[in-house]
Amino acid sequence: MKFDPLIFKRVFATLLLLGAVVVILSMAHPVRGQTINSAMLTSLQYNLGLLSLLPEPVLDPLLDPPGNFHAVKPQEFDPGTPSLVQAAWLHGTGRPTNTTIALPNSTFTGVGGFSTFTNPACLNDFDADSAMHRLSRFRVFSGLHATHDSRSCLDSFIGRQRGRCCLGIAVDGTGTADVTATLPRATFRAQPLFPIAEGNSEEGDAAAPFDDNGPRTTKQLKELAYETTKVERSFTARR
Amino acid sequence: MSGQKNPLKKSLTGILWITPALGVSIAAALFLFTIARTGQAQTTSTRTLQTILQLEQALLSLLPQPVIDPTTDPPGNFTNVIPQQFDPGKTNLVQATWLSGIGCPTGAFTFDGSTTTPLTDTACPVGDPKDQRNQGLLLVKTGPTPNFAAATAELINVKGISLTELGYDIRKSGVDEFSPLGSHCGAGAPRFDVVLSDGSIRFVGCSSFATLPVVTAASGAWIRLRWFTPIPAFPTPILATDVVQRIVIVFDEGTDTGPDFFGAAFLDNIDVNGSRVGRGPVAAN
Repeated sequence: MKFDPLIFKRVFATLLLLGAVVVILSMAHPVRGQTINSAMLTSLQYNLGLLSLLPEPVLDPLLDPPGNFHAVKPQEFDPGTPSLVQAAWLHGTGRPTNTTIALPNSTFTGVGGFSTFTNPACLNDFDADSAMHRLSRFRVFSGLHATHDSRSCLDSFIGRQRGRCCLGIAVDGTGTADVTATLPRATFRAQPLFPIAEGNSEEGDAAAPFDDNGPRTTKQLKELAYETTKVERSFTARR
Repeated sequence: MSGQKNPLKKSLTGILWITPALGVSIAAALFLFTIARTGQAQTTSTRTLQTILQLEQALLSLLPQPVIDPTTDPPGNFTNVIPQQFDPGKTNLVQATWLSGIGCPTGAFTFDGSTTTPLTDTACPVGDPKDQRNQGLLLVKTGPTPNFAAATAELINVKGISLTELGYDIRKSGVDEFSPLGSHCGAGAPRFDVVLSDGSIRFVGCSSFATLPVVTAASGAWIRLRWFTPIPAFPTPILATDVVQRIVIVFDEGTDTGPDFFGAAFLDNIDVNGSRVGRGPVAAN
């Protein structure tokens, strides 16, 4: 068989090109991975710093026995005091469960009757909110991204979670059926989040994995529950 | 043969006559159908607006006017916006309050742990110079719109003035008021209810085609909406010669109303004739 130098050259050039592509791709992939990891690391460092600066509420063990989770206390972390954050429970903004709505009379001069209303996303709401105040945790960040551009953020203390085997933590959000949709309430991968100090872990609103309780989602409200896998792991170190 | 008509010619003649007749009939039917549809749409639209107007009159008659001290608030000196909840059925499904940290940042700053950086949103290059805490006006209606309740805010000391400009900044992403992102901005809420000296009421909806605002500035987070004289309003525009009796911002569309289904709005820099109010009492209950 006769050796054709032209074919050899072509095969060599093709292999060289292929090799270059493989090298470029293998270099590009770790770079992207490194970027994500460094962002997560920054977020983790930020959370650790934040938790160390946020004062823990002083609890009375008689009123608040360990493991008896019953309070979420909003507070604003704003050491530079730029006044760009807000955290509060507010009446009238929460999930309506077994609530009553007023219907006007025919001339709109007063209340003509009442009707019951429950948002399907919240069939079993917090019983202690039976005073119908419809409290909701109100969290707002104004301006730039919290973790990188401004050292201000919001946080809420989840009362007495320490030392407890947590089966799940959850938050209700006003948003659309798709939690990652860019509709009214922004749901970034890391906001709002549960920074759990014990296990150096965090749960972001739209971070996977989460159990989004499909049947109890409506166009306006969505119940988000973060189940055992990640949460329990983060508590393991403490237990 | 000559006395007999050609059947082919006869059918062609028939087709020639039938075709335009059929076309005219279809056109007439379509015309009538269009008229009927337009009429229906107008009726529905008018009925809705009329209902809002009726609700308006009742709401304003039931909503108490704040008592104003003329020594601290001289007439025509617009300096305050007072939030209040209209909830005669005590449903606890509405909220109206000024809150720190939620307004459009003008002359604000951010902090990275060691240094501060100035921050002014491009949607609000100028704001209320008295607002030192970046306050914003939160208006919420939870649950369905038919609930007889509303979050409101009374503009203080506007009695006796004529309007050349109305407006506010609304926390909303997108290029205009029709964006589904952020605060609710519907045809009926938030809206200005303007009572004129003759007792008549005009309302100016956030995103109604009948009362389209001008977007004078926008960013990724806020939109500045302004209505200039003659201010487009329902049922008729507010003219520069009209004298104002009272102005109230009303938010009464709940979480069942799109395009956002949010049931809440963040407002700031309430504007009357160029005077902006961007702070007020924290009235959250």
